[in-house]
Amino acid sequence: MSDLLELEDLRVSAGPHEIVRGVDLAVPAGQTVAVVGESGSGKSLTMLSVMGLLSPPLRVSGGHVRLAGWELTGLHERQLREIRGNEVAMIYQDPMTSLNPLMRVGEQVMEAMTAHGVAKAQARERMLDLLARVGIPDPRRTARAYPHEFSGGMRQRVMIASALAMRPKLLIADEPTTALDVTIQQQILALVDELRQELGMTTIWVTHDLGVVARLVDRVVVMYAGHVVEDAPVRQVFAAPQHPYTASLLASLPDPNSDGRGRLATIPGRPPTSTQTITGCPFRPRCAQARDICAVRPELLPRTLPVSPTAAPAAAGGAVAEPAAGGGAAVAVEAATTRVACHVPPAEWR
Amino acid sequence: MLRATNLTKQYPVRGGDGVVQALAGVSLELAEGETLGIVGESGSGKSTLAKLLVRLEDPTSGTVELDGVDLTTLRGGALREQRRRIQMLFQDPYSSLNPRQRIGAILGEVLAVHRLAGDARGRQRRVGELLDLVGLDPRLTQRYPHELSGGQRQRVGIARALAVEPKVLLLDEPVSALDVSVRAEIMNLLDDLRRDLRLAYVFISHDVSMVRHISDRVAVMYLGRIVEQGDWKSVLDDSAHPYTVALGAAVPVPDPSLAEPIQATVVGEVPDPANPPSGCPFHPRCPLAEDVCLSTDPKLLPLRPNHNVACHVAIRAAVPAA
Repeated sequence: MSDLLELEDLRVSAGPHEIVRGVDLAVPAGQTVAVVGESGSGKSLTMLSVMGLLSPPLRVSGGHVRLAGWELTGLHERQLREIRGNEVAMIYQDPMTSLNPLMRVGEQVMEAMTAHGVAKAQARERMLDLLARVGIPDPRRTARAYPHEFSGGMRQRVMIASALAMRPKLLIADEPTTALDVTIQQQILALVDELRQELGMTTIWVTHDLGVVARLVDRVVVMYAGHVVEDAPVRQVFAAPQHPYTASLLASLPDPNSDGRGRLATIPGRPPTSTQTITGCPFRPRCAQARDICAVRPELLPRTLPVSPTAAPAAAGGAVAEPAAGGGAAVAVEAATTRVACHVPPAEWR
Repeated sequence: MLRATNLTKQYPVRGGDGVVQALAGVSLELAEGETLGIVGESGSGKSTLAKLLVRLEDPTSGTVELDGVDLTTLRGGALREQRRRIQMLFQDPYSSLNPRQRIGAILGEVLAVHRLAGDARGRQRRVGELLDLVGLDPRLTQRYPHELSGGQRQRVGIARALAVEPKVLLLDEPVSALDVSVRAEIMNLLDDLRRDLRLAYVFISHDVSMVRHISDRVAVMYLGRIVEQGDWKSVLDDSAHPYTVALGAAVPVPDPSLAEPIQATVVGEVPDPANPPSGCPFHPRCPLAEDVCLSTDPKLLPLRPNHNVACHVAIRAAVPAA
């Protein structure tokens, strides 16, 4: 598999302050990846730079973004517009920020195509197909509605329709269900996942809640303070997280099955702000496992796992994945693709 | 201690002469030190219910009693005095904290308005105690709301609610806007405060896993009604109403080893309360709907001890033909 998206030492700054502090990430065509992190981790800014959508004072201050063979860094807005939609599209948490309130929803979905040179009649036909495909009832009539006449879930469906209008190779979904009710969240997750398979799209889910996307992704990339701290196959992340931060994140999810009136695990302290200078491991001040060596910043290095994670107890909180019978070998193969930025091996803390 | 009886609330439809039935007869009780979880989605009426319970709005009919005193008839000083005892915390306290006031002034003002904690010096001391109570550094009094993180702002919101020494806290989606690890911190704090101050909570959320974590009893709302209510474990783990079952199934399972794809367990959206369906409000989305559900709105009836449900099918299944 060749890499559809390649980020190399990507840095994003606001004025003098670096927020994304050197991200290396390669996403092969066809893969589904979760980029997980809390507010301020840089996960959304990383993805906005892929879209070429950073607005001042934010800017790409270093590194490279390559998409489908194109070097995006340094491209002009006109060239970027060509790539957005055709090669990559994004859906956001709040569709109102990307839908024009003064334009009928059908026209907006059509515009996503006519802007790329699709003839109007053809765009109209495809728009009606798309609205039907994303589950909007009676497309001929509803295409004439304005966004405010729609519920949050319906707006999200419109945004998905216009994101997919040009059949992008890469779809970035940035917390698209955070603002939605649970039953609607489930509908939207299922819809995007179906469309992903149907269109063979490479997909990146950006989220702060690993629990939401656990069943949708092949691989998890955990970000902290502008760095990638762990990058591993999803089953392995749940069964045997390699970075203490990943383990803490998993432990803070309430266990859906316990009689749990117990306390939820928390992470002491706060993530560093963008104005703070980070020396050593960015997680060190909050890490229960911190050692002297953590004063030196750990690099994101491939890690070969000596034991199958089947034997390892999972993080607290019950977010335990039982690897399927006979899955040990598969996990061992996957483990070769694991990268971790931590000096302390899990054997010493788990 | 807190008792709402047959609350209804209607709003006039804009530009029409119809009404929207936001609440259609809701009754609930809350004992001292107890947590009642209210689960519902947009349009379920849960936020309207919250506003009526703190009397931000008046019900169209029905009563809200606090320790036997009917809040809906109180006016002036007597209302202010009772209102002090039931406080509300919002999803994002940012929108309810004055951005130009320092944290110390925000909390001090509440104390001054309610003539609590004596003079300026007494208030200052009390502000320090309140911040300490919610786990914040007392030095934050000099900060402005925008200088705080989301979790810190939510703690300030809690401190402000606690300043007037309430018995009941109404928590409306208190952790929905927070990161997962911060969410855990606030949940733990709420747990501690409930025990230490013997508070009673009404915890309103669409997030079943959080309601499950904190509630003694749970009420599930749909289109202005309570459709299932009772002991938390019975309602959430042994749900009888098809809507509660669907809600539970919609919670994402954090387990990547589940092979089957995610599928929507309930189709469609909550109906427009201005144009509600006939009979049972859930019937257009319900996999079990029968003829009776199209014509007759089911009453909330006892299913088991401490567990009521408003569903024709569930009640019939529980009571085999006599």
